[in-house]
Amino acid sequence: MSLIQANHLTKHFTRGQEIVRAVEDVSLSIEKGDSLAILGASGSGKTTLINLIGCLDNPTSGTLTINGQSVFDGTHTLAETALTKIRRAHFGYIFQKFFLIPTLTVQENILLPFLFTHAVPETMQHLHDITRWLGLEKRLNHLPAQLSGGEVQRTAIARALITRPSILIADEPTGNLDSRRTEEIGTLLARLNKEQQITMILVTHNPAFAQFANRTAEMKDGKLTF
Amino acid sequence: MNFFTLAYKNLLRRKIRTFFTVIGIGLSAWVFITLMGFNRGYEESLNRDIEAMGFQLLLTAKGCPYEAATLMLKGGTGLRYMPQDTVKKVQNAPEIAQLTQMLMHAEFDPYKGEDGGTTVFLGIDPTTYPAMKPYFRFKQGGWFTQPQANEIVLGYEAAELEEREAGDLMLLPNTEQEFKVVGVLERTGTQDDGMIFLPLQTLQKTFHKENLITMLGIRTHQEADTAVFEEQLYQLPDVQVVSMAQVKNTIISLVASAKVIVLSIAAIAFLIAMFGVLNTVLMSVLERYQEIGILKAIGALPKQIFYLVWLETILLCLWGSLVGIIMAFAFSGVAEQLVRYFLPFAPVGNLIALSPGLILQTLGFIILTGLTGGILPALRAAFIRPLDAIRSEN
Repeated sequence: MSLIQANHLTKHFTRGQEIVRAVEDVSLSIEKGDSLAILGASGSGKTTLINLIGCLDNPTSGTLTINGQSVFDGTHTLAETALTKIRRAHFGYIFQKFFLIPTLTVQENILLPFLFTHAVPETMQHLHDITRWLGLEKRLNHLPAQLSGGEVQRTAIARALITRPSILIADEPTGNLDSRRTEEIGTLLARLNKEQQITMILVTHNPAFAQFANRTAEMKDGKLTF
Repeated sequence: MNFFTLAYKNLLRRKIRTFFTVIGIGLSAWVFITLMGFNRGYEESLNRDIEAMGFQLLLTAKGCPYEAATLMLKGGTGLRYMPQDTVKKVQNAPEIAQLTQMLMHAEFDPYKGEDGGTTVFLGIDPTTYPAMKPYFRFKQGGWFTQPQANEIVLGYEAAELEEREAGDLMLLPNTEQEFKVVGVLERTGTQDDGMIFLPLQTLQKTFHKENLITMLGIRTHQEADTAVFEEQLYQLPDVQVVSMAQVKNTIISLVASAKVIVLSIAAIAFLIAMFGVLNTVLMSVLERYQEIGILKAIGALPKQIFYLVWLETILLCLWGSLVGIIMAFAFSGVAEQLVRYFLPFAPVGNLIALSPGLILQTLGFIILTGLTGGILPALRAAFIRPLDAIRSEN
C-alpha cells in the first residue's frame, strides 16, 4: 500500500473570466521513504499540486489517500479545521520564504507547532537531536535576525521535523538561497530521507536541486509526467 | 512557550504603535474612572455635608429656595431675618426632637485683606446647638461660659486665617469691642471649619439684631412624618421650609445636566478606545497575513488563531487600563480642582471617589470594549487560508 495515492486529481479555478486548469488529471503514487522532486517552470501548477497533496487545498475532483486513509473522496470538500487536523497528523512543511517569527528564538520557533497541538515533545532529546543534526545546537537562543540565510532555512526544516511527520513537503526550499546554501540544504534533505526514512516531496525549478531526490517528475500545463 | 508569551512578543514587535495604543486606552480608562468616581464622590460628599448639618429641616425667612440652600451649605449674603418668636410657634410640635436657632451676620471688615472683605459670624444658642453637632471636637478650649458672654469659638480654618488661639482677643469689625477666643474646633471637613461662632444673644446685641434670627434648625423624631410636618410649618407666615432632601435634590438637579455630559464623554472615550484597539490589532493581523497562514499550515486551528489575536487585544487593554488607573490616582487632585472650578456648588469632601469596585468595573469595561473591538481582526485572522497566505506576495 502506497503512503500517498492520488487518482485523477484536478484543480480548476477562475481568474477573472478565465478558467485556470492548474492541475489536470494527475495520478501518482508515493511509497514510504520515497523522495520525489517535481520540476517545472513558474505557473506550471507544481505548487498547486503539492498544496493538494499536502492538504492545504481541496481539489476540484479526484481522490487522495494518505497512509490508507481517504482524505478526498471526490464528493466532499473539507473545511479548514478538518484539513488542519490531517496536516497535523502527517505533514511537515518547508516554504521558500522561511516565515519564522522574528521575536521568537530559534528554539521557540522550532517548538511552535506544539503550541497548537498541545502535545508535549516526549523529551527535549528530540529537539536536541534535530538541532544537533542540523547544526543549530549553538543557535537555540538566537533570534532569526541573528542567523545566516542557511541557518534560517535549517531552523524552518527543524520546525517541520519536530512533530515527527511521515511526509515532508518542501516548496522551493532553496529559492532564496545562493548555490552554496542550496547544496547544503539539498544534502541535508537527502540525508534526512535516507537516514530517517521520511517521505519527501520537493518542488523546484532548479534541476540541480532535483538531483537530491530519488525520483523526478515534470509538471507542465497542469499535467505531471515521470 | 504558551499563547500568552506569543501574544506578548507579537505586541512588542511594533513597540511604538503598541505604546500609543496603550496610551490611548489609558486616557479612555482615566477619563472613565475620573468621571465615574466623580459621579459617586459628588453625591457622597453632598450627603456627608448634609448629614453634618445636624438637622433635617431648616426654617428661614421667605425668599429664594436656592439662596436658602446656599445659606445652609456655604453661608450666604443678602440675608433675610425672621422674628425670634417663631421659635415659640413651633417648639412644642410633637415631631420635633431638637431645635436650635441661629443668626447669621455678614459684616464688612475694612482691614481684611488688601481691599477689605466680608466676615461672616454665626450666632448660636449654646444650650441647643452643640447637641446638633455631636461630632465637634475642640482642638483648644471649649464652648462659651455664658449665653451672653463676649466670647468666640473659631472653626479650624477660621482660626488659621485669623491667626488666633484660645485665650487671644479678637476685635470685631465696626464695633470697637474685643472678644475672647475661648475655643478652636478640630477640622471637620465641612463648612463649619471656616465659621466664627458667637453666642446668639451676644451677636444680636453687638450688631443690633435683637429678636431676629436667620435660621431655625429642626431635627425630627425618627417616627415623625416629615412631609406632613413640613406642610404644617408652611402655615407659618413669611417662613419657608427647606428640607435636606429638597436641598439635595436641588443641587443634584443642578449638576444632573453636567452628569449627562460627563457620561456621554465617558461613552465617547470608550468608543475611541475600541476603534483604537480595532485599528491596531487589524493592522497587526494584516501585516502578519503570511505568518498567520503559516501558523495554520503547521497546525493552528482557526479558533486558536482567533484566541491568539483576542489575547493580544486583552493584553493591550490590560496595559491600557493599568496606565489609566495610575493616571486616575496621580491626577485625581488636578481633576478635582477642575471640577470645583466648573460646578455651581461643590461639597467639601473628596469629589472623586476612587474605589476598588470602580477600578474593577473599569477593567471590566475596558476589556469588554477591547474584546468587542478585537472581534473583527480576530475573525479576519482566524479565516486566513494558509494557501492564500503562502501565495501572497506581501
